Amino acid sequence: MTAQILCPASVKKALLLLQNAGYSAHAVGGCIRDSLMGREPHDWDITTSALPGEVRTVFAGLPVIPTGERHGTVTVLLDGDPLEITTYRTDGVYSDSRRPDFVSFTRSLTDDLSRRDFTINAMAWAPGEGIEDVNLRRWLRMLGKDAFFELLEVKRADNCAQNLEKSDLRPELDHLKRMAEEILSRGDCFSLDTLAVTGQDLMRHGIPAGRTVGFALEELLQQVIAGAVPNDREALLRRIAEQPPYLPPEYPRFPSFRIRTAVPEDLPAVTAFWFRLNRSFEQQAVNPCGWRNDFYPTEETARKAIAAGSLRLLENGGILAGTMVLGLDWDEGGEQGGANAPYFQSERTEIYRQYFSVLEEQKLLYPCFCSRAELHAAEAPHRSDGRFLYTGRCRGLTPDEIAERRKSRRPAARIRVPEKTVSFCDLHYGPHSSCAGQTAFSRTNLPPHWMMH
Amino acid sequence: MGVTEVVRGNDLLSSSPRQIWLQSLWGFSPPSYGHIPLLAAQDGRRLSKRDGDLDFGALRKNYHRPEPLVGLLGWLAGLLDRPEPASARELIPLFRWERLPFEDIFLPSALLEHLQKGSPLADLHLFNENM
Repeated sequence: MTAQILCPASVKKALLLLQNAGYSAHAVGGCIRDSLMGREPHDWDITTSALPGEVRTVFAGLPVIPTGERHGTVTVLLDGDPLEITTYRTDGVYSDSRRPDFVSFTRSLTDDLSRRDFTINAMAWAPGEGIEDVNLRRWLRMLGKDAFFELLEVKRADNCAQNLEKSDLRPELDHLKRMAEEILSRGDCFSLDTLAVTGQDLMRHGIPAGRTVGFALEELLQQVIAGAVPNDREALLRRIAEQPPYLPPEYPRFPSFRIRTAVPEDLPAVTAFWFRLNRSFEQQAVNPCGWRNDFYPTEETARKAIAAGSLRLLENGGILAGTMVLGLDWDEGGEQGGANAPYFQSERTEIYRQYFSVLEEQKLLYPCFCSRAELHAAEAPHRSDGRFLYTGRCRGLTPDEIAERRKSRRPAARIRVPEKTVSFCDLHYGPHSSCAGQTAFSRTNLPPHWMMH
Repeated sequence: MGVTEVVRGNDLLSSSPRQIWLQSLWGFSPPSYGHIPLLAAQDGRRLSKRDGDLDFGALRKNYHRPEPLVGLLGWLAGLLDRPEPASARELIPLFRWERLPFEDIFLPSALLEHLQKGSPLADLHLFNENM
C-alpha cells in the first residue's frame, strides 16, 4: 500500500527551486491527505524554511502577490499556477479562531508541523521522499509506537464525539493506522541496520566504496519502505545490479553563505565585527570563523592574518556574518539580553569585585607569585588527565616574603579551600562526593582583573 | 545567581565540589549539575580545539550546514539510530539522560579522517561494526 503523490509540475518546480537555494521546502496538509486517500489533490500548500523576503529572492523575476506576508505567506505565480508559499512558523494565540494574533518564524519543519492539527495536517512531503517514510517514520520515532497509536485513538474518539459530517477524519485516521501497522509489521524500515544487505555486501558486488555505497543503501532502504522491493538479500542485490545507484548532489548549501580569504580592504569590517562579537564568542569558547586556535582576534592580529592570507571570512549575502555554531541558540544573554544582564564578562567587573571582596574579608585569598612557566615546569605534578596540579609553593609565604616578592612581580590570587567533603548528585553520573580542597590545587581560573595588587 | 542547571563535559566533574563550596560561601543555592562524556580519539586523547583540522571552521567548510554534524553527534550520543541530518531543536524530544553513555565516546581514526576529508556523513553507518 503505497500512496502516490500526484504533484503538479509547478509545485514540484517550486519545491526544487527552494531546495536548490538551500532551504528546506515541503508540500503540506490537504494535498498530502488527498494523496494518501487516493484522491486527486486540489490545494497545494507549500511550506519552507525561507523567510518571506528570501522566498521573493528565490522567485525573483516572477509575479509575486504578498498575500499575508505578516503571517509568512507569499503567493508566487509559477507557470500560470498561483502557489501559496508559507514560512515555517509557530503560532501565537488565535483570538478570532482563524488568524493567529502573532506568529514567529522558525527554520524547523518539526516546529511548524507541531503547531498543526496532529497527524494528517501535520504531514509533509518533498520530491524524492516517500510519504510514509517522512511522516509515519517521523511520528513513530518521535512518539514511539504506543503513544502514536494512542494519539490516533484519542483523535478518533474526539472526532466521534464531535460527530461532524463535514470533517469526518475517521476514515483517514483508520487509513493512517493501517499504514503504520504495515510499516511496523515490515519491521525493517526504521533504519539501515535492519536492511537485508550491508555496505560490505554492496562493495563485494562492485559498488564503489564510500559515498556511493552510502547512498545506494539509502536508496534501497527507501525502495523497501516504498514497497518497491522486498527486504530480501537476493532481491536487493538484483535490484542494485539492474539499477545502478544514483549519486545525489552534496548537501545543499545556503547560496548566500560564502567562505573566502580576507583581503586588506576587509580590515575595517573585520575589526568592527570582532569588536561587537568577540566578547560573546569568547564567553562561549567557540571558534566561529576558523581562526587559528592561538589566535586572539584583535586588529593587529587581523592585519597580520590578512597579510599572511590565513584569515577566512564567512559571508552572508556579502555581509560579514558570524553565525551560530551547530545551530545552537540561547534563550537569554549574548546579543539578546535578558533579566540577568549584563552578560558579557567585561561588563561584570563590578559584580566580580563584590564577590571577590567577600572572599577577601573571610581571609580566604593568598597571593601567588608563580609564573606560568613555573606552574607548568617539568617537575610540576600532573593529574591523570594531564592537567597540572598546583604545588602549593606560595601558600605558606610569610608577610615579609610577600612584601619582598610584590616588588618584582604582580601576584595572582589563589583561594584557600578547606579539606571539606562536598556531596552532590550529578544528573548523569549520580551521587558524587569528594573533598573540595583536594581538587582545588590547580590554578583558580580568575579573570585578569582579579589579580591582587 | 540565576543559573539553575549546569551541563558540561565530565572533565569538570571533579571541579564541581569546589565550585559548590564557593557558591555556599557567597550564599547561593547550588544549581543541579549534569556532566556528559567527552569525544575522544581512538587512542584515548581528548578531542579539542587543538585538533586544528577538526575545528568548526574546517567542518563548516566541509559540511556547510550544522544539521549533518548535529545529526552525527546525536547518533554518537545514542539519540539517533543513524547519523542523519537533524537540527538541535529536533533532538530535544529524543533526549534522555539514560541514553547517554558514561564512558567517553571514542571516534575511530577512520571516522576522523572521514570528517577531515569532508566525506558525506550518510556513509557513516559503515563504521557501525567497528564502533
